[in-house]
Amino acid sequence: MLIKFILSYYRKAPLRMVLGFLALIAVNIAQLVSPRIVKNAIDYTIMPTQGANRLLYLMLALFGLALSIGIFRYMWRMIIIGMAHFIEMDFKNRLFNHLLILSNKFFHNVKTGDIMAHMTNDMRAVRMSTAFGIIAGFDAIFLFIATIIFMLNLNVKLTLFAIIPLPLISIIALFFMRMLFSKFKAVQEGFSAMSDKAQEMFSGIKIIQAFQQEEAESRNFDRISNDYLNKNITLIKIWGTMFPMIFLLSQVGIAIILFVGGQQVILNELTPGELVAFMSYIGIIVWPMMAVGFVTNIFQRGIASFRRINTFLEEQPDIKDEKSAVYSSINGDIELRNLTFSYEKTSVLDNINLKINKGQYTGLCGKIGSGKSTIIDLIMRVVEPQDGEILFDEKNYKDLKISGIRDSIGYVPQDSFLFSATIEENIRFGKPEASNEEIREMCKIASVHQNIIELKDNYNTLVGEKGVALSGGQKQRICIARAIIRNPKILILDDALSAVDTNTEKEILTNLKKFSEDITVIVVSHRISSFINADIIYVLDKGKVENKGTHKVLVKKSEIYKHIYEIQKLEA
Amino acid sequence: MQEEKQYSTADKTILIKLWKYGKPYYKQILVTFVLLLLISGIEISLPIITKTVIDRYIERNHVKIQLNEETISLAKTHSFYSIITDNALFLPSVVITIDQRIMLEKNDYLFNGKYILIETKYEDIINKYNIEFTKSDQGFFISYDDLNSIDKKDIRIIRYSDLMNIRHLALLYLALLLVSFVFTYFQVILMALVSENIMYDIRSAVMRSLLNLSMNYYRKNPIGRLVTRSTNDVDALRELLTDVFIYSAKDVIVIIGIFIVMFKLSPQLALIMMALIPIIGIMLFLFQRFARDAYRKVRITLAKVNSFLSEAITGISLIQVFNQQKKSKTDFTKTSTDYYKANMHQLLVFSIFRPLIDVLAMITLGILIYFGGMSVLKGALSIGVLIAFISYIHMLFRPIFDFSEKYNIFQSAMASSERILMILDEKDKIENPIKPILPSKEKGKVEFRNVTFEYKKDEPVLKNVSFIIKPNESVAFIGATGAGKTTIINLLMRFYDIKKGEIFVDNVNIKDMSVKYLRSYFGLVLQDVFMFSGDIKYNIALNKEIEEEKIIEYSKYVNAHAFISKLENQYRNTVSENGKNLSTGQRQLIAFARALTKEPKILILDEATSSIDSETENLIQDAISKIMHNRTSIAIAHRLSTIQDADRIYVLHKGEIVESGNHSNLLKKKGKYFELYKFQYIE
Repeated sequence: MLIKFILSYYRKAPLRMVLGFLALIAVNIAQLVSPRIVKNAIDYTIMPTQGANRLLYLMLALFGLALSIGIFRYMWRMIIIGMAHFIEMDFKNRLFNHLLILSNKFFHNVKTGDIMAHMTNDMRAVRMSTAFGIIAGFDAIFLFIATIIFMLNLNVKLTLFAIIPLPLISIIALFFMRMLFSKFKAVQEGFSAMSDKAQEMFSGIKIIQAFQQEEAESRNFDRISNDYLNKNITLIKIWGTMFPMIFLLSQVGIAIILFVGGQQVILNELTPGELVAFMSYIGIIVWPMMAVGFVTNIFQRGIASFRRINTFLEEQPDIKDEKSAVYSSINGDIELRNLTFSYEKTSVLDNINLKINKGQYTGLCGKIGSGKSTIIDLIMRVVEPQDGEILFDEKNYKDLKISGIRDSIGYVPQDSFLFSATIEENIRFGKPEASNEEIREMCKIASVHQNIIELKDNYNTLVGEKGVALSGGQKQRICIARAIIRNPKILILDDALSAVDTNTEKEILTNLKKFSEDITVIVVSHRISSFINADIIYVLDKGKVENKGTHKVLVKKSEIYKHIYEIQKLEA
Repeated sequence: MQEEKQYSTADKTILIKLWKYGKPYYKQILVTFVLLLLISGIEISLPIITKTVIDRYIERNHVKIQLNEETISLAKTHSFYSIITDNALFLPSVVITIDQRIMLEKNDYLFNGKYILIETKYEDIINKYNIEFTKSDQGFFISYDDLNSIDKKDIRIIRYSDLMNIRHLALLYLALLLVSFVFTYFQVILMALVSENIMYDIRSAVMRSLLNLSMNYYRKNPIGRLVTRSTNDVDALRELLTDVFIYSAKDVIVIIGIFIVMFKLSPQLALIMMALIPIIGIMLFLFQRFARDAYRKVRITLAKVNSFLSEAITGISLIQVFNQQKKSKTDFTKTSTDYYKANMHQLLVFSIFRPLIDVLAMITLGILIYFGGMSVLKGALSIGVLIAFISYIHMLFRPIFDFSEKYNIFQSAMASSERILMILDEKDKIENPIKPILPSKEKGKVEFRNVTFEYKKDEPVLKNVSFIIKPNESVAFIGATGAGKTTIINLLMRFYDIKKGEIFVDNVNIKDMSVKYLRSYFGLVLQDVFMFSGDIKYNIALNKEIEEEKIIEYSKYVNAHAFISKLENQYRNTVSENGKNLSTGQRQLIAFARALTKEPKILILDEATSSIDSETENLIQDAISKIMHNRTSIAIAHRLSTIQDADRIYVLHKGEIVESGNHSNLLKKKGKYFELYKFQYIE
């Protein structure tokens, strides 16, 4: 499967790849020819038969050989390893493009760290197969056979003796590589246990210091750190045996050559030059013997990684456009009709009916788990209901293209997620073709323009993970600007004003009304203050609408609403 | 592109500081070096064995020299080797120096061909063949070429001792290999033990240093960075300690050793090899410069790919909801193409350098066989020496191949070391007083006197705050986010040090108390209860030795026992990551028990805001009133009940105390508190 995958790339540049492998063959042969030249030189110095320029010719031959090895080695490296890098890039792009079409459900079940692991570790394993694996595999077969032929050509008896320890090299490489891999895994686990502990300690630093646990927790860390130490030692013990053992066995080959071959020279069955050539060949053949072990291991891991990546690529999004769906922007009338949604057997929304009218300021209120966020997800087509229907402008959601619905929505997320980019770029994310003036205007509506121009680099300030630490309220307002620049018909504020003070909140909502008369605003909030001016508030409880109405009505009518209101009276 | 610092071996301060951690293991390090020396010695001596086999036993030949006055003196100089017959002087070819040979050739004293000495006892065999020989007191000399006409069977007999000696040397070769294998094994293990232990020590020191740093440091450094420092950065030292230091040392030993041996064997050839050094030096210098840039580009672009990815995955729903898949696609393709280009650039550098070294190695071999071969032809060099030189060339070039890798390792390890040392040298600590003062009696009185504090310059969080909390008084702080409530706790527990004003606990300035003693006063319950991975018992007792019964007693007191005893393994039940398998309310109750284990004089409670089901809510309210009983308590209060029950409420507004009093008094005042209570939601 992996080989097929690699070949599919090779087929795109067949000439180039053939050239690469021919160069690899050329290097291998040149490598094998050089001991023969040395052999001739040595034998000539013992028994000078021809003219004295013989040595000069041999030197020039070696120079020529050196040059061709240089050129051919450059060629195969650039071609074969270069291809491996290309495959990695292309494969990464493919995986990324696929991630973009997967739905919420997938990302809910798979951790970011796992996806990253596929993108880094698994990709590396595949690249190792496509570069090192292919070359080592090729060498293991071709170089091995070629070397044996060169050796047999010199002396059959000595060849048979000299290769005695060779199979052991393969066996050892094979055996130890497998062990090495499992121990290496243990080391990685030890390392992440240690990182986890460190992470925990730094997260709980305040408690550690307040309870004077600095020393005790350091000792706990030491214990895990010591476990990691031991795992490392175990690992090193294995490769500390493996490589010296392989070296030992290759040198045993030379000892055999000395033992058998040395006597053969005296008995005139072998020339001294041939003896030396044999020693070189043993040095060369060790690599293909080791490569057998490496290649098996590399390909095993490469195939496993390749499979893991492929399961991702085979993953199908559970939310897709129906064939009959048409692209159409929507106006802002939304209705959920007899809608049921459950998440992994837990019921979230239970046969719910809810209507949001165009231009209305709508509030969704309720405890965690009451289903308010799910309603938003349903409207944005991020999740698919099990039963019931969603109507946009009285059209069934299945008849509309997802992109059409989403293009009509401005969404302000709960976590005020901003990308590691400048403020301007972050807002432009909402509308890539937006002009600078437009961006500034939106920021004024979101009441954040003033804050931005007070920053040193104003709109060019870097934000996100590596950027300037903005306050929660500033982030939320930038997110609002990013949403409204899309000129949406529906604006969704997912608990998006929690860090904005009540006055600014009022200001923003007024600006919004001015900005667009008939915009539908859906507000999810924990804060009663966000609901005071709402046209309608839905109070949700355990997946059902407990009550609906305006603030004034609900304070009297709804138990839940009243309770939240009471608690928040003095809440900070 | 961020400019990265370049390190040279001249960055001695870093290495000297690191040596502190290597010092305790100097004995093991010394043994490692001795082992390396022995291993290198064996490695260098192996080609000598081959040389001996060839020169002494295979190509065992003599030259025949006319006997006259001049050559007699030659015989005297080599009296040990010279064998004189009736008309000639025989000398082993290997003992004659180049000058002597030139003299002999000039005067035509030298007979053609090579001769081999056969022991006298094989006379019968020699006689079987029609071979010319010269008798001497040590045996017969026959021409080397005549050996070809002798039967293999007979050669086995007449050269029996040569054959045996070759076998012995081959076995010696094998024996040395085995010894070297054993040495290498021990050296690798010893080195691993040393380096792993050094890293363990450093990790331990880094951790201890970090845990004692002030909150200010933690505010400035994201947790992820600190984790990287204490784990990854320390790990980067492994290769510095082993690959770079130890193996570079070995490389140097081997290279020097080889040159010494080469000079002993043939100064002329060794000099030719020496000429290589500047060429290789220039090549390495150039390579190092190109490789460094290439490596840096690869690292930077890879980091970009990874951060783009992780961010895109985190923000995937945003990308989808905003319909920006196409843009993300193009952006990602761009970053991954940059990474590809950087990889190709690095590949290019290596694809030129690595083969170039190959070319150089083979050219050297060519030069060697030409000049060496010519010397052999002239008789100035033995064939065995030439062969030994060929082996040494391979050994000399091996470290050069590894150079590139070691250089990169060295660079990143030095960068890591510097970051580690920065933590070890970090001064942002809460200092203990030189002479700590103990309060005369532990009562639980707290006083803030004109305290002003700012986290960031010119952004004061507390402005000239003063108040006194009497022993056993319960106090509630209320106010908006950012009003300074949490700061009061941070300062009282000395998570931060104040610059202006004073804080007293039981009439002693907290700066005069030892930090440990001060903190032992307080039982702290935080808003987000932090749970350690471990079981419930561990989370209550934290590493203190407390009897199970005592823990149960505390848990019962704070109403936690009921739910704990319903858990599958009760107090041994594991708490999952961040306590996700417990509800917020349950975590709160555990935090109460945890605080109680300290039997604190002062309880500090930062109440949680998140909604809790009413059943647990009642348990919590009950627990709070119990644990506040009979001790000073300071609450950052969100619960109406906590606020109402407090002896005194402080209303904080923008870093100042604007009102204080109990609930009913404050309501009567119709001031800020009343306003908050009646109309506003405190944000």
